[in-house]
Amino acid sequence: MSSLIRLLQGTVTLRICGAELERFLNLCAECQIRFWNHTKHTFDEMGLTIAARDFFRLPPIVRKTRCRVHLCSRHGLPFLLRKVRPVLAIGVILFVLIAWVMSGFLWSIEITGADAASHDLIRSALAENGVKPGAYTKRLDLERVRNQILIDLPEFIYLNINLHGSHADVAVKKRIRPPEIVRENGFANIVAKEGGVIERITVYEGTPEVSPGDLVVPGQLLANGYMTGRSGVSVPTHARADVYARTWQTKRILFPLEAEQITLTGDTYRKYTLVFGKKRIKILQKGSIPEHECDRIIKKTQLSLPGGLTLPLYLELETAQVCRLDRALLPLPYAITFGTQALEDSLVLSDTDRLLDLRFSATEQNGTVELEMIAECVKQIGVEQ
Amino acid sequence: MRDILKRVSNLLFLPPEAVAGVFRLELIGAEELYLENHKGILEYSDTEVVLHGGDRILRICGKHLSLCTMTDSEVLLRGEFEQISFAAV
Repeated sequence: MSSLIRLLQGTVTLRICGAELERFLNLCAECQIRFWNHTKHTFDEMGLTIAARDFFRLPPIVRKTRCRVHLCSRHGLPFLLRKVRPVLAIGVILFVLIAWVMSGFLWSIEITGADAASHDLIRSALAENGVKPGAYTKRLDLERVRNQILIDLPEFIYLNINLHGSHADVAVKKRIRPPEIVRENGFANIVAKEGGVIERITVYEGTPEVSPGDLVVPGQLLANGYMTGRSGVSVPTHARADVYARTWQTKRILFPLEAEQITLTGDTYRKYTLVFGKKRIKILQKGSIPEHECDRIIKKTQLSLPGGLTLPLYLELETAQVCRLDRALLPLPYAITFGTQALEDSLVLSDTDRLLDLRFSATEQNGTVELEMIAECVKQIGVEQ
Repeated sequence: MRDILKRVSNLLFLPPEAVAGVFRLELIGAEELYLENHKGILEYSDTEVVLHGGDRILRICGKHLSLCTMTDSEVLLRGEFEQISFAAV
């Protein structure tokens, strides 16, 4: 601890020559000048170390003892600071200047009040209007940007941009549309949107025109909008009914047996780029990346300081894997499996629909395979007309 | 006067170095010597150090003697001590 304090205060190593060295030491002790690392070289010469601030208290002692003092070396922080002072001053000025200049730019944008899916949309809209990392904040007209974005993106009802130094907080609120009003006052019939065999029919309003077991075709009247009372008078109403029918949906797909196959050659190229606004600086590139026939993966990472402060700097890593396109013949079972899966995926069923059966058939001809799917379902087929 | 003060300090069970100002010698092994209430250095070399202790002269002989630190009342010596002797002023 004492050596650290000495280092901070600064020390000087002296060589004292003279006949009265003992007296010199006694006078130093009397004047409260602490010394250490004392070495006696010869009978009239010795070396010692004192604190730098005590050096200027030595002349009266030197005069009294008629000794000569030689300064051998200087150590400690004050001398170090004296050495590096110009460099330090330039460093401090540069730091302040850089901090001042950088504080004028927008470094990060935080969006609150919207789902993650909308963030990219808002970010791109902000960027189009000049609010993006790297933008000079003094030139931003936030009021104009806010109004422009609200015009461009009608799905947002509220948007506010608060600028805190080099950070922008963007608060948004999505517009909640009123539910669509169903007009139930007018006259309407229920007709079939597709053909099938009626499974069950429940009429809430109107007169049923079909019964379970009936075969219906698309557009056929299922429930009449006219209701006949006990008096025999027909009253026009807005018919409402749930009509479930067994339907058979047929889908076909033509699948080529010859397909393009991508084969990776094993050659990989990596390119690191530092992105600052529109400026792109290539840092490290191993080989030149070929323009075509490459599987490219671009990973962009925003750089941030350990405290969490994000910088307007991005590190982009582009990995390119060279590939070759070959024409290959697909095995028939594989093609059937692939096509069956594609057909199954194309089948759209609502929550009320029920799938009863799926039948597939395949026919191979002229290098292609034709797959047919018949889906048997129970569906709600009634629509208002 | 110093004798009177010594007696008083003995009677009152007070440390004599504090009351009478006599020197206090502390020896740690044969390598480190700490002297309190000294009156200065009389002679100094790497084989012999003579210190003024007020009413006594303290002579320390040995090898590689070095003065580690010194203030107006304290002295710290290091080295290989061989002989410590006292003489009247």
